[in-house]
Amino acid sequence: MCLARPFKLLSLAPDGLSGVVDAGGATLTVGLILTPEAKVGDFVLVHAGAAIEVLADAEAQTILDAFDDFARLNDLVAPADDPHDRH
Amino acid sequence: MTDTSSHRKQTVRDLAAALRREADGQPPLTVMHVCGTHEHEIGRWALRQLLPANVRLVAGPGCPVCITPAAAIVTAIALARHASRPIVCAYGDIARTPTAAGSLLDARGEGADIRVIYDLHEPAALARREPERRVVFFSIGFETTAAPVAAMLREDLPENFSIYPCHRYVPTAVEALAKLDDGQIGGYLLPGHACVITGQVAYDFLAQKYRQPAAVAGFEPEEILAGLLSIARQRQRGEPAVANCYRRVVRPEGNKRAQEILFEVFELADGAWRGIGVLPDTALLLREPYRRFDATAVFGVPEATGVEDVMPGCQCHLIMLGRKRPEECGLFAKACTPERPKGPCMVGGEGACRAHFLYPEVDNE
Repeated sequence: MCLARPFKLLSLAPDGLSGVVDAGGATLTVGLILTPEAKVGDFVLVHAGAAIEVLADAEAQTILDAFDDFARLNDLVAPADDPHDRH
Repeated sequence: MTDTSSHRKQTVRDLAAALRREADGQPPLTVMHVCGTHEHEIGRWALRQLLPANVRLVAGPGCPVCITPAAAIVTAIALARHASRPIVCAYGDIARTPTAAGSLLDARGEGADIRVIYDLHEPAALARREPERRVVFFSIGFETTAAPVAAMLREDLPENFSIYPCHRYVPTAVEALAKLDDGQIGGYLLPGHACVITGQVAYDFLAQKYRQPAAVAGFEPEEILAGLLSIARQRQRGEPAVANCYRRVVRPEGNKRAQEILFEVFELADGAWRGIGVLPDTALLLREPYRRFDATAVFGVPEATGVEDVMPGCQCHLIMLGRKRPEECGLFAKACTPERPKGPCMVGGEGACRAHFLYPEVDNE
């Protein structure tokens, strides 16, 4: 129940409280109350029919982008300039 | 995106090797995660087989279906059996979850109008479509679900809609677990999507008050291993912190708007967790202006009491605290299977027993 998925926002309802997202060719209407900053073209993280966060689009497109090499991932785990870092 | 698969495999291998180096010569480390989806991804990718022998990863009470008290399910059944014959909407997993008095789907078999939903907006939409019927939303889940439910309750809702909420809040539950721990747990892998709402700052107490390492993790194998590596490093260096290994999704402070709305509609109170007992400040109860939607008041159906959480022979309550493995339960994969679950952890997509049933290769202990 806590797994959310990113979808691209295609359009906003006139009141801005909901919008339509691209769900792999089909469309879904999702709630946008928690993400008032969401704009058409943004990726939103959707859980149980409601957007809970707006994602940086390049990173939302593929879950792998942020982990495209070990060095970067290692950097995420512990800053590279840490003198204790063994790697 | 060429050669993604082999690239990912290498990343996973590199992370596992780094974790082995970090743990080498160190005392045993047991990390608890508190997310049913983590448990399923750990099983699906057989990640426990990649861990060094002195690092254990145990499942905590992170499955919202599993921790929903049996009394709440029995109350929802009582609402469905009210003389006015309301429609009761529930997510599929909680509708299937057994209690000593049966499940919501058993009640449907006996004539109650139970509808399985996938979207938290569906019950109110159904109430609008069927104005002659009364519609109750049996709403469960952690803050990931409770925040958008709170947002929905602030909108115009039809008169024939009401809600029976049984939401729980993860940060205070993790604090209760940390307080109860007798030195077994050496770090916490925090749930990525619940942290979208609260941010990592909600867990600062782990490092500050309990000196426990912690890491927010996403759901890919790389992300889960990165979280474990971070925890191992924090411990090895004696520098506990709350690391954010899911930065592309989780902001340190979380979604502030979602937090404001969540706590405008709900307030924290002591809450029962199935088979575990009452954990302080973990239930999200409706605040006064929103109690007009409370189905138990609308229908005059009191909350059920004295309902046994633990089914005979079931070990779910110990499995959810990381004290037993599913395979150590006498019912596991025999009397209790996904088709005929006896306990809540075998029911849904987030239960630890179901994960171990589906992915037996995780068992390398």
